[in-house]
Amino acid sequence: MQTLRERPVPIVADAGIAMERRGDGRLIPLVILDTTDRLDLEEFIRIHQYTGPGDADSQWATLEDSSGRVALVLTFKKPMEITAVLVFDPVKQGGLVDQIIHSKGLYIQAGREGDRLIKNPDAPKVIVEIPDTGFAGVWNEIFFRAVVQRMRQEGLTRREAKQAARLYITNWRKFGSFRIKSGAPRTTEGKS
Amino acid sequence: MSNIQIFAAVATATAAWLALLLSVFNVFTSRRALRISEQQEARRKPSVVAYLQDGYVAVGIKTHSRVYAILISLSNRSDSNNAIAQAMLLLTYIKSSGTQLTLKVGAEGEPPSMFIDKSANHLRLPIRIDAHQTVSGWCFFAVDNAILEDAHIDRTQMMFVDTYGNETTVEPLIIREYRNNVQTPSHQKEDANPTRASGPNRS
Repeated sequence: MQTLRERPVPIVADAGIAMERRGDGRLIPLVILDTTDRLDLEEFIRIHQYTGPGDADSQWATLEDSSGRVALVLTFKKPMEITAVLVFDPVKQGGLVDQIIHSKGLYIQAGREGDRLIKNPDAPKVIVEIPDTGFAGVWNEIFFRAVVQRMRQEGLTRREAKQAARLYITNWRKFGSFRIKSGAPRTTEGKS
Repeated sequence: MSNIQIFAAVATATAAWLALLLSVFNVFTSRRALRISEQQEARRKPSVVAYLQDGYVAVGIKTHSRVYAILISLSNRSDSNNAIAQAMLLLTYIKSSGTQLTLKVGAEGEPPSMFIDKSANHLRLPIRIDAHQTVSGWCFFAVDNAILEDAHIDRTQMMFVDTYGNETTVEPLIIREYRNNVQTPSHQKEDANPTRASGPNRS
């Protein structure tokens, strides 16, 4: 077990970006972070557009605080040494985490509470490669349990919730696996 | 006690003393051998030392960027061959908000166009440095002006990473400003003379 020293950076919005020229046209999720207390992270995202490709490590973690949340620890080495911890609730943001894992990438953008991608689509963003470090297998179980819990909250029986969860996950992954072939970038938008 | 018995006792005692002396001698010899082998091992430990020979920052010559040109020599002081894999410029700057950040800039693959002097030896990385050898050359780093807007530079460092992953840093305290004489003729007299046999050329 490892203690995270950094405080999590709040996620204020999420979206998805698919571009033909990047990531083989995969739909890569984007999170807008509230960087009010992380001016260093905001500056890192700003300057990254003026520098070449950087170096970053990523690590998934499950939080041992009985909340069932998962964390993504991003450690940037170049062009700046900086760490950002993103925390996700699998029940509310399970689809987002699943898409990050399957697209193997994530855009991060600095912002404030209330910001949306559509408000400023040209805002500086940093794309981070998120390779599978063995978390995908663990995540499948967490995601399934989170979707079952959500279905139960909707009023389904345990058996119905499990069936619905399997169907939901299959369809979600089918939707998330689409590839853009040509043309302008397309975006999807959500709210965290 | 017969003479033979006395002789045997004396001979045994003498042999024991000789053995003791020999073992003491061997202790010293083996200690010395250990020290020598430890020194040899220490000499094999990778050790690259960077020495800053000269440095300029060119502002306003390259569009949208300031270019750092730093002449460096790197000495491999160990008994093992080595290589320099990466060179980075570390710029620590402070924003007007008070936030302090350190930017890592990788070396340019090609010298910028204004450094056209063919005699200027560009340090192309990766570069091999055999044991007890020294290499020297210019490293160029371009930093977009937009990065440093609303900020002042607090510290400049150069960092080299060798093939073993060891980092060597050198800190240029004062970097002279190198200006384009066409763009800013009023500064020409103030500039230090950067025209050297191995230095960058004015465009």
